[in-house]
Amino acid sequence: MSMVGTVWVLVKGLFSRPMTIQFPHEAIPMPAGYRGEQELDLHRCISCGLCQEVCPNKAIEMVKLPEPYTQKYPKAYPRIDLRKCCFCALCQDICPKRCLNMTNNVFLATPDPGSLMKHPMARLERG
Amino acid sequence: MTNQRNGKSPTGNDQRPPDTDDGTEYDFYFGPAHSGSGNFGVKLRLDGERVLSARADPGYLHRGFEKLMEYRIPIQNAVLSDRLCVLEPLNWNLVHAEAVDELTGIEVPERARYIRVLMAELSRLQSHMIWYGVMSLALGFDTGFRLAFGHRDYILDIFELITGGRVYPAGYICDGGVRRDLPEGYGKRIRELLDKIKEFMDQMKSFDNLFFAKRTKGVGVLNLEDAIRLGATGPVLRASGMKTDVRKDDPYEIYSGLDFDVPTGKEGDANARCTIRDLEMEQSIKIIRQVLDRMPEGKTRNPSKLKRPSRIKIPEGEVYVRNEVARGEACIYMRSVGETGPYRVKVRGPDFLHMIPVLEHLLKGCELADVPAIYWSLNICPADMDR
Amino acid sequence: MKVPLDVILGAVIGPIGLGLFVVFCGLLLKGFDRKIAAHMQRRVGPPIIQPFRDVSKFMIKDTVQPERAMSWLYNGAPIISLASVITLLLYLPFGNVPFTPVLSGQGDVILVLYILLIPGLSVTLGGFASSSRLATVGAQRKMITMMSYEFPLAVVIISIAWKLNQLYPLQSVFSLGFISSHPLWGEMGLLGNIGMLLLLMSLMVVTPGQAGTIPFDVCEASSEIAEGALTDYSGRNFALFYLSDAVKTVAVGTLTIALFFPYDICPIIGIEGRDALALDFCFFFVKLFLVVILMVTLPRTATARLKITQIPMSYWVIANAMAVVGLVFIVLG
Repeated sequence: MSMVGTVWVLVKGLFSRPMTIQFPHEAIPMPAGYRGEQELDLHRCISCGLCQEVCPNKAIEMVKLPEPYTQKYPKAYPRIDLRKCCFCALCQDICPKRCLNMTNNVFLATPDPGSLMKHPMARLERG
Repeated sequence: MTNQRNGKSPTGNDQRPPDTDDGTEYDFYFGPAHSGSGNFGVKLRLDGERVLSARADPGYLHRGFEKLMEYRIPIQNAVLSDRLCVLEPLNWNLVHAEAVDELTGIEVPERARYIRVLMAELSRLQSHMIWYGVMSLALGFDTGFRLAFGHRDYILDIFELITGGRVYPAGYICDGGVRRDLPEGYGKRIRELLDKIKEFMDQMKSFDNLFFAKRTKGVGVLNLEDAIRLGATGPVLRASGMKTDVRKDDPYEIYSGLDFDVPTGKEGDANARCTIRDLEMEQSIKIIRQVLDRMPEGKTRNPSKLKRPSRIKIPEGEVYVRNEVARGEACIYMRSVGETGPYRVKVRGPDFLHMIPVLEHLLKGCELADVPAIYWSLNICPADMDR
Repeated sequence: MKVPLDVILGAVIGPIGLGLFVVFCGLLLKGFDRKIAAHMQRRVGPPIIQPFRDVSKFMIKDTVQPERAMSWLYNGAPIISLASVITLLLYLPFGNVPFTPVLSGQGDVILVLYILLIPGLSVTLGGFASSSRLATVGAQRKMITMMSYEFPLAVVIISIAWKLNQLYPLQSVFSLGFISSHPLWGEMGLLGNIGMLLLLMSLMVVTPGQAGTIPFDVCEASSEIAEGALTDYSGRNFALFYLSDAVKTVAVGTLTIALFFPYDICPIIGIEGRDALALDFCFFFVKLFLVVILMVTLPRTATARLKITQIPMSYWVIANAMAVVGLVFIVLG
C-alpha cells in the first residue's frame, strides 16, 4: 500500500539528519572560485580599462585616486559599484594581469549604501 | 455563460462584465498577488466553484531582454541569457551560445560540448525538481515541496562548484565553449548527487499515491489536436501523445551519440504531465552518467581568452537555433550585420504559448480547486514568457 | 442564601485558569506539531516556542479592517470563536483523576458536539463579514466541510453512548465524565473491538477536518484561495483565531482520548496517592501529544489537499461507512 510507503519515508525522515541548517550559526562550505565580492590588487593593475569595457552592467568606472596617492598610483583604476554588479566575473576573466579577483565574501547586505561603492583607494586606507 | 472576450478594450485588458443579478458569477484574480501564482495572473470568471472563462494577464516581469541584447557583445549576452528563465539558466545559456557559435562559425572543443550537455541535463533535473516542488505546493502537499527543494539544493551545490554561483551561472555556457574547466573531483561528486536524486525519486513514487493522483487524474485534459493547434511543446505535447524531442529530432551538441528514450504519455491530463517529467528525470540521469563516462580531455573554450570587447565582430548572417529545455522548445533567432553585437534577437520561449493559449484553453470549465493543479502542471515560468 | 467560597473560586478561577493553561498547552502542541512535521520533511524547523512568538507578534500588529466589511460581525467572530472553545473546555475531562470538568453536571456530549461547531461557524461568519471574494469562497467551503464531518462524528459518539447504555442501564451515559471513566475496549467481544477500531478510524478521518488541516483544509487552501476565510484577518483578530485553533486542537484531542483512550497509567504500574495524580495528569498530556501527532501532523505531512467536491464524498461515504459498520459491530459484539 502506498500509504505505508509514505509514512515510512516520513518516519525515516524523523530520525535522519535534516537537510537544512541554521544558517547564521553554521554554513555549508563554499567552494573555491565562488563569485563573491571583488578584490583589486592595485600594485599590479595596469589601468587597461578592459574590466570597464566588458562589464555587462557598467558597474565599473575607471577613476583617478585622490591627492596623496597620485604620486604612487598616477593612472585611473576601477571603481566597482556593487549595487549594479551582477557578479558575473567577466572582469576577473578578462583582466590581463589577474589583479581583479572574486572572493568568497557574499555578506554584502548593509544599511550603508555608500559602502557598496568599492573605491580603489579604500583598500589603501585600510593598509 | 458570458463570453469574456467580447468586452475587449484596446489595451488588451478585458472590461469587467457586470456581476449577474443572482450574484453567483464573479471575477476572481488568480495572481499576480496570490500565493498560488508567480509574477503572472489569470483573471477567472467563476460561477460558484466552476470556472467559466479564463484570461491570462501577463507582463509583470517584462525586462526587455531582446532589446538589451542588441547593445551588448555575445559574452555579455550570455550573462544576460541566465535571466531568461530563472529556473533553468544553463539551458538558456546553451541556446544562446549555440546561436552565436553558428553565426561566428567557431569550432567548439569536444570537451566543452560534453560539459555543455552535462550542465544542461543537470539544469533540466533541477528544473523538474522545482516543478515537482511547486506542483506539490499547489496541491497542498507540503512534504513534496520541502523534499524537492531540499534535494534541488544538492544540484545547486554542484553548480556552485562548477560555475561559481548557485542559481545564476553567469553565462557559464558561452560562445565558443564554456567559461571554466571542471574542477577537481567533479565526477565523484556528481555521481554521489545522482544517487541522492535517485533516492529522492523513489520517495516521490511513494508519494504519488494518496491524493496526488486523485487530484491530477483527468484534470486539465489536453488532447493532441488542441496541443498542436495551441502550440504546446516539450513535456506538455509529449504527455498528449506526440513523440517529439528536439534532442532526437534535430540533435545538437552531442545528443545524437547518446542513448536515451523519449517518454510519451497518452491521456494528456495533469497526471500524464507529471508522469512524463518523472520519466524524463530518469532519462536525464541516464544521460549524465553516459556523459561522465565519456568525458574527453582537452580545451574548454575556443579562443581560450576573452578578447577586448570592441574588437569582437560577429560575421553577417542570421540563424535560428532550437533546443529542448526542461519546459519545452526554446529557440533563438539572431541576426547580425557585422557589428560587435547582434542586430536583432528574438527569443521564442516555450512558456508564452503554454501560459496564454494552452492555459486559457485548459482552465475553461474546470473547478477552482483544479486551477493551481493545471497551472503548475504546465510547469510555467513567468520570466521566460515576459522576457 | 450563602454560596460556598470554593464554588465561587471554582467558577472564577476554573474557566480563567483552565483557559490560560489550555491556551499554553495548545500553543505548545502547535510548536511540537510544526517541529515534528519539519523533521519528517527533513528540515530543522522552527523552535518549539515559535507559536508563542507568532501570537505575541500578531497581538502587537495593527488590525486592518476591510472597508466593506460588516464591522461588528468581522470583529466579533474571532471573539466568539475563542470564547466558544474555552467554554468547550469546561466540559472536557483532562485526565480522570485530578479534577472533574468544571461544568460536568450541566451538559453532556451532545452539547460538546454543538459547541465544537461554533469555532468553524464563526470562521464562516467572519469570512462572509469581511466581504472579500476569497473569504466568501473560503467560508462556503468551510460550511460544506462542517456539514460533511458532523454526521460521522455524531454516529461515533452515539454508538459509544448506546453501548454504554446497554452495559450500564439507567446511568447518564451521555456525560463525558461517565464515558471517560468507563472504557469500552475490554467490555466486548472481538467483533465489538473491531467495531471500536472502525469508529476510531472514522474519528481519525474527522479530526483533521475539525482541526482544519491538510487534507481537509480547503477553506483556507493557500494555493487556491489564499487563506480563504481568514484572508482579510490581521493583527489581534487573527491572533484570536490562531489561539482558538490551538485550543480547538486540544479539545478535539481530548475528546478522542475521552472516547477511546481513557486509561491512566498509575493503576497499571501501581502508584497511589498524590504522586499518582500528578503522574496521570502528565500521562494525559503524553496521550494528547501522541493523538495530535497521529491525527493532525501525520495526515498533514503525508497527503495532498482534497478538492471541495471530494470532501463530502470522503466523509459521507468513507467515514460514514466506517462509523456505521462500526456501530453494527458494536451492536453485535
